[in-house]
Amino acid sequence: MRAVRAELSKLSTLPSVWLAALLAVVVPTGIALLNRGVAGPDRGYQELAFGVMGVIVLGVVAVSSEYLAESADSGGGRQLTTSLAAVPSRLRFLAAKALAVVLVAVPLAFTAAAATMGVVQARLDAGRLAGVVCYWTYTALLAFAITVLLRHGIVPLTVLLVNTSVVSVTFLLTKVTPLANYFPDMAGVRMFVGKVANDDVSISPLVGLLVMSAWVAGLLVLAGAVFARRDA
Amino acid sequence: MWSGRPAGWLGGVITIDGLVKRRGGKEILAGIGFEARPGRVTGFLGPNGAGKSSTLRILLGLDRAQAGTALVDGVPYPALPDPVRTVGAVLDGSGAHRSRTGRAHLRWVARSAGLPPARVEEVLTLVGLADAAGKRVGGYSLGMGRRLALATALLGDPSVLVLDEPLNGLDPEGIRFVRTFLRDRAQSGRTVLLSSHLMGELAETVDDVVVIDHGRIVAKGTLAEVTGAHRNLEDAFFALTSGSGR
Amino acid sequence: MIRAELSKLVSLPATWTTLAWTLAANVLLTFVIAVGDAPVAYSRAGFIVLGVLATCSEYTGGQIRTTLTAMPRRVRQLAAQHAALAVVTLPASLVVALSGPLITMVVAGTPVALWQVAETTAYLTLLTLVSAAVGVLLRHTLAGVGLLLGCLFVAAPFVHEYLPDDLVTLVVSTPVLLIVAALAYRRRDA
Repeated sequence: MRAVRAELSKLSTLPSVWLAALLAVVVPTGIALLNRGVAGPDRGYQELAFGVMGVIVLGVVAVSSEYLAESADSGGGRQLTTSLAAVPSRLRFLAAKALAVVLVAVPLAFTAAAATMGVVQARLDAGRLAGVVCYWTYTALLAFAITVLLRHGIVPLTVLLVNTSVVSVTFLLTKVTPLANYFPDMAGVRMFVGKVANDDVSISPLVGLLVMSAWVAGLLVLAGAVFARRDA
Repeated sequence: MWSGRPAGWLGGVITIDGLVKRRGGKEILAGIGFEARPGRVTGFLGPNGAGKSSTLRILLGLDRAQAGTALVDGVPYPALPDPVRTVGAVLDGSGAHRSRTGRAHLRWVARSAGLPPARVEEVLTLVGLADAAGKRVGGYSLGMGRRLALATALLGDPSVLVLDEPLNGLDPEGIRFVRTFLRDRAQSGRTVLLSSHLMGELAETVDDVVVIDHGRIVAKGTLAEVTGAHRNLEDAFFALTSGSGR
Repeated sequence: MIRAELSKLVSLPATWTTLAWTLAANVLLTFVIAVGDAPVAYSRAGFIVLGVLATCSEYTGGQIRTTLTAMPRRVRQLAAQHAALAVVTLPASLVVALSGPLITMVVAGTPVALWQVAETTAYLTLLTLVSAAVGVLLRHTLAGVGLLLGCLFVAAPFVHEYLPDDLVTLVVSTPVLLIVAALAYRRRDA
């Protein structure tokens, strides 16, 4: 638990994490405000599906900050060296970090959902809101795991942000093969978005949850295995 | 001081006058001034955080001062017609991007001053980095990074060398190399200004000494003048900067 | 000075990796999802990364100190850096802009619309320069990339109706951002 507390204090002292928190709330509410004219059963939820930018940034910087070389003035070292000296078990370190990300992502998702729903004044649905929180947390963990694998934030940040675009790449891929519906983001949004524009494959919220869980678990295990083996 | 320039005069007088630097309401430099002359090694001494690096960064045009001037041959650094050939600077670290090779780093600096690529190989050999020139800077040891910084400074064979803590991170062999090297530079009529918080390492290398503490000059003169009645430079230094928390 | 900046850019492995991945992504997307230059809507992200990297890489390993001691006239140095970036980006944009329509021509026989290729090339080059200017202002690669991608991919679709055409917006914002970046760059401590 001490390791988790250390990771939480690391996160809370990173300026980019505060920026991520701000984005997490501002982006979906902002989209909701701009989208006021549009009606439909997915009002608010749709915005929350696009507005995951904040948690993507959170997941990426939680890891990339460890790999960032400090300025030459402070010796040019990486924080990771210090971290692993403090918590030598790689897997415990990674688990503590992932847990800290979850502990930040969950309240962020709640806040963002509350703010967005406040803007659109839609009827609240506990099940769908749970889906939103789950989707957001999973997205943060996806970003986290991919950044661990790559040891650098640029690529996951670019790919994941590009894919939050209204017409996402994974969505376009569904036109080529129905299998693309099982990408983590495409499956995950089914947890709370009833209709993904002109879709021809119907995935129930439960299946969506299972598919995205499998992706996140798989990538986390892979990240853990790679991280445990390679040189820090 | 000079009535006309003698033959072989390379120039390179550093004149610092009344420098004031405040950062976030804190006064880092409180009007400091001194001079570093050709043919001499000037040691700029002070405890950590006394304002040594800030002074050198202002001299090199990296930071801005709120008041005062820092000139090389009467010209502010950014206005020098050919900076790489006039001043060579060694600041903290390697000053190079870690994913570039040492050679590639020196090449772009050489290009910026219109120096031939052959000069890059010369300085690499001079600092003993020829074997590691094709390696990425990220894989360099601390000492190799410092040697790369020195090589960068020497590219233009400048008449002034400015070094911030040049002995940091060097092994005994490296320290010896840098010391002899700096003496040779001064001997050939060039100006050497170096900052350090290591007194013992410097006493044998410097001709003139400037001592700074809390952003103020507390002593300046030749080594003998500053040492004065004290046993050695180190004793004099602690007497001058006592109470500064070091 | 431009040659120094060019050799800096060219010896940075990240420049080539970024360009290679951008082209690969563009070609792949053309085959998989779309025709013509539609995939550029996604692969322009690569040019954003390239632009931000070009200026933010200065702040890795304290290279900025070497740069500014070698070329202390800051505005001129910055101009040279952007010029060098344009020299590298222009052909790269052309290749990326051409790749989609060329593939479409081979596969479907649709002729290449040259005017559109030129427009896309200009768009990508300007976008790279804007990204470089943002990089100068932020001095942090991740922040720069995040901000620009957020604007382009998350915010832009929703404010699109309030803005003129993409290219027009860029033509206006490029000089403005460059000037702001130069002013900040000239004034601040390195």
